[in-house]
Amino acid sequence: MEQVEWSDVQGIVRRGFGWLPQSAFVLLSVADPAKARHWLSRLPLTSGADAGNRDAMTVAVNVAVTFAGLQALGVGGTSPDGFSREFCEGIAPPLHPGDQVSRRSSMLGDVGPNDPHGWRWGGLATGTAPVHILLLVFSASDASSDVDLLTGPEDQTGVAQIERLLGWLPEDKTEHFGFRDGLSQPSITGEGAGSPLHLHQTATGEFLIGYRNERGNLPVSPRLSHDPEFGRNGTYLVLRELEQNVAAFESWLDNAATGHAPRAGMAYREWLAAKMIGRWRNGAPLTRYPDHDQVSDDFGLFDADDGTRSNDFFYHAEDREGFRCPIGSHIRRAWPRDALGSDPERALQQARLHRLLRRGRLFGPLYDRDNRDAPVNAKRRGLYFACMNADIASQFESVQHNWINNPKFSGLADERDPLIGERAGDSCMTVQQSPVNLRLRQLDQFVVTCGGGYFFLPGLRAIQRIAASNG
Amino acid sequence: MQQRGLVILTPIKPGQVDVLRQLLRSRIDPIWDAQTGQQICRAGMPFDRLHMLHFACIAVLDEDGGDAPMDPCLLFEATIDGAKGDFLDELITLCGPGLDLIYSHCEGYPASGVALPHLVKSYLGGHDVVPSIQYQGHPGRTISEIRGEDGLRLKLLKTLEGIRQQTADLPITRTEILHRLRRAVIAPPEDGETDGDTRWATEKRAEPIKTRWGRILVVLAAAAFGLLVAGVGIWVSAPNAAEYFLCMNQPLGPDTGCRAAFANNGAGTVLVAMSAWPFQWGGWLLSLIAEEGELFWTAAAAVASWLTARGLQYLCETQTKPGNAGTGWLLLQAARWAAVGLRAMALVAIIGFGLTNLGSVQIPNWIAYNLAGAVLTGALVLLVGLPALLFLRYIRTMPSLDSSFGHATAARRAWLSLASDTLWLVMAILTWLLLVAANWVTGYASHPPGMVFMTLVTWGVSGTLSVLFLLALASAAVVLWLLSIGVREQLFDNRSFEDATVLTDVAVDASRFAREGHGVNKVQNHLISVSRIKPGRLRLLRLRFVTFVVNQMCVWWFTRGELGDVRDIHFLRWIIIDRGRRLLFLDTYQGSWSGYLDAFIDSGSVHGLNAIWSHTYQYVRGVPRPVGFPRTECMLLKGARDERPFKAAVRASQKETTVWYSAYPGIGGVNIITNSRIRDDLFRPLDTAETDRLISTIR
Ligand code: HEM
Repeated sequence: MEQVEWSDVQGIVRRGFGWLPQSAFVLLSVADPAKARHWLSRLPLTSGADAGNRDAMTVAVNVAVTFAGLQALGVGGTSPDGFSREFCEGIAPPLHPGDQVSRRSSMLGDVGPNDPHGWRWGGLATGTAPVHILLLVFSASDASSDVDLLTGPEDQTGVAQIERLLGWLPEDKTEHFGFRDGLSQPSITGEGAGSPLHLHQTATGEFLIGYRNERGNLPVSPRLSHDPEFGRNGTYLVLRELEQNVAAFESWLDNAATGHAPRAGMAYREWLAAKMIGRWRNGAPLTRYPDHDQVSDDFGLFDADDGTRSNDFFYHAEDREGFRCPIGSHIRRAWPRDALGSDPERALQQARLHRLLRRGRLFGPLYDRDNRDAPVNAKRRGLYFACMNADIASQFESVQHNWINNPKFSGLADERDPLIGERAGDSCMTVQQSPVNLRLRQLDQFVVTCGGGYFFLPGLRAIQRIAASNG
Repeated sequence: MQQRGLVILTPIKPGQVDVLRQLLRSRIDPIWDAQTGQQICRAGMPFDRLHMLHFACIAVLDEDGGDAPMDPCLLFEATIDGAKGDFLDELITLCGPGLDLIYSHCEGYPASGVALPHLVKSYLGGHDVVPSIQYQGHPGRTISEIRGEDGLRLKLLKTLEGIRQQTADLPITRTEILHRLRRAVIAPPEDGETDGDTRWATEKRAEPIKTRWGRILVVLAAAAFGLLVAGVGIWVSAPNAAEYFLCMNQPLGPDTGCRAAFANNGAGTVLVAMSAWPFQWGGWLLSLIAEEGELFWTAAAAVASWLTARGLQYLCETQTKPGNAGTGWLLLQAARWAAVGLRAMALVAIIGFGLTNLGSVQIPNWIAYNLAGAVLTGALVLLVGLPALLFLRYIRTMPSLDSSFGHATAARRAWLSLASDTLWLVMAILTWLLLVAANWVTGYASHPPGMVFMTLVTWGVSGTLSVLFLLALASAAVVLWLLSIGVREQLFDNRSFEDATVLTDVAVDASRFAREGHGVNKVQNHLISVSRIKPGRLRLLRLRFVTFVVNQMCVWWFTRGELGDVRDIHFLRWIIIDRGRRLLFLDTYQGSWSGYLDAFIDSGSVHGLNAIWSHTYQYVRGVPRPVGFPRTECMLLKGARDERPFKAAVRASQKETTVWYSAYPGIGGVNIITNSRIRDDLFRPLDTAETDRLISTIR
């Protein structure tokens, strides 16, 4: 077991700061490299060690940079120098002449309505400034005023604000579609409770650079000209602004459910929704609780001490054919556990190579389900999806491409994630059941990508060394 | 039906590389039509009319850097059902204008173009390089089968949809559903129905022989080998029994001279005595020849005339200049055919001779009393002979392996084919000798049957033992030798090649793989990689051996859609080109590049990958020295497991797939297997659970 140097790691890797419900993700561009470096060195950054004792903390600050940002700060070169290729190219690389869509965008499903040309930030839309720095602020009360304190006027700090993404986390951790979120998280070896079956334990090197990963390798560490150790205790952060069209989701469910009797102890539409996610709204997994009657309403799933265990289910032994949790459902696609292939042990080992440390926050007000015409329902809402991984290509991109958007996922013929998948033609999802499978058809574009970026979240000492270098 | 890979490599005329690449992009590469999910082929190159064609790829292989850059060449790769010649005929007939357009930029293409189709055919056929390793993800499935079975799935899906609507909330039994599905399949197509006739699906799918029997054969061979070794072990460890047989045999067989050794029961002495066996055996054979002079000389004459005829044929072949049709050429050609005829006659004589002498043995006795000896001798022949025969077959393909640039002269081809023919003959004679030698002796020395039995047993045992002993000695020596070479090679590699980790610092030109993952490549992707083979004849020999072994595994073991655990491969080939100077890798796979390589890295096949690619290096722009493959341990371990340097090395060696055609771009490898399973299950008796599974896999 490796000891993680939490005092050098930024806090967000260790905790999602769930007790600080307000958040702001601030996108900045560098105007004056020298000043910006100085400003960076003065930021009151929260370390993983700080995040360990939550009581004293009312605000937490973390910072990440893009590849362009490193150059703008005057410390990065143009060659990769050990940085991952995806990071260097960015989440939305410019097109090659003659191409309709870039390879990366099509891999990530950023086509059609998700096309980076239409993004609000970080994409290829004309007029959007390139993002250099991402400041992550979590606060107990008002994140925006904390940001004001931290940034200040441009001529002093050397950085200019592009966009301030204000987010929040509801107390019941329920996202806009109405499902409990953030349940399955990998626990870094040497940290966290660790379930008895080690289902969720993952090698530190999958999330932090400088440690052994699941294959037992020490991944190549990024370097800067002045700092050969730059990568240590750092990781890559992926941020995406995913707008959720809750009204479309609800009305799709209504349409699909008309004339159907309740099933599995729930209204038919709720049953359908659960099949799409793979969990009931309160987070109870269908694989363990195929019938809603087994789940009591105040199901304290993951708060109770032994509660975590209901998340330790295995598809291969319990639900191979997908009769409970459909093969194409969101959670089965996003992390298929031991379901892919004939040998569950191997399958799990391989699935472990593609885990994400999710740290998303909501934006926009909750949808009012009781009064569909309420003015609040016309507002924008969605998820600032944020995740961390040591290898963007084989973690975030692989999940997005090989699982979520893969029409052939696990032997399916032609369908994608019912919730967030790319839409093409008549988008379907197959719900396995006996005797005849059910096919959900004409799935709408419930989620649209409106922005995104690949960032590097350096270790704290590495940030100090950026500041100390003279460009 | 057998699927084949046709890989044609032709040198490009100097200075034409860019023009050619541009031409391929703008006038040959089919256009993707997202609406229909099909490719629209260009007028000059209607790939979609070639009914035998699964996949086609055309690309330019040129080199970025390096001290002695190799000449650029054009790659044409096609995966086809059936014979290459038929495919070439069809290609030339239907794609003539395209071929002329492309190959006019290549050296040696007939100026007349497809106006003289036979010239074009011999040009293309002459540049065909045979893959050293060839793996198929779905062996034996023809294009029409793959498309048909996918159509079948869609038809079943539609039927299910119908059932679901009719019976909305009514209960329906699975037997009833299965019944309706079957009825839908066997129903004759109605007029105007587009789904067509699916009645063929009731027929059993033809499974290739190697898919069905390959693994069983491998297991049987392994078991036979195990039995043999165990038998020998028993003989050695039961000296009394051995002594008994050996004593009885004294007057007849070779003087084994190990009686004392067995009696003393010292393993060391036994080994010393055993080492003498082969020589005694040989001496005994010589004396036999002296005794049986007439027989021997007849045989020798037949063999000698075969050899003379073969030599004559070789001479004619080396003297013939291609494409020249004068009188001299005609004479040579006639002489060659005469030699071939002579050779055939000699062969008939040899076979006849062999059979007569085999027949002179009293067969009933042989079977009744000599079963043990026969089994042992037979096993010996099989064990030594079979791998040797396979290897020979492989060597036979070498002439074309080396011909990538047409540099391989006719002389070299003629020589290799002479060598391999001769080896065949030697093998056949040896086999025959082993088979009949024992009987030959006993046939002439009319001893009691019991004696015959003993003789044969002793023969089998002593023969096997001596072969095994020699093998053990030889392999010990080989291991030592390889180790010393290994150390030297490692030192050399460390000195000459940069570690592959540097590649993670080098930017690569992403336009080379810009087509991956979208458009026609949404589901299937193609990877071309070219690397150089490290210098040294031994290394090349070892690489050849490794490719031989891996290829045998692909042919006999991995016949069920999985290579190791990797299930995403449609077709994969490794080809040693440039007379052993470069290694070409061609791969058609399902899914994303990164996910596919991950699957490889994490499966058992990573060892094979290491064993092959550890023999290579490459020049990369931006790195002054040549770069090796990520370092392996003992050729098999580590290497590609170091995922980032490995992926960087693959990216750096990758070439652009400029033209790409697929006959079924939307069907993944996994789907092909699932679709076949649906078809197989549909008309088979099923129990409840199986029915459920069948219905739920129709999706
Ligand atoms: C608006 C968009 C999204 C919504 C509403 C959403 C919703 C959910 C919900 C309700 C769960 C179940 C709770 C849990 O297991 O934590 C979940 C799980 C998960 N989601 Fe998402 N998600 C979204 C986007 C994404 C994206 C873009 C990814 C990754 C590329 C992703 C990856 C995951 C993973 C890995 C899990 C855990 C699966 C498990 O093992 O149980 N999600 N999501």
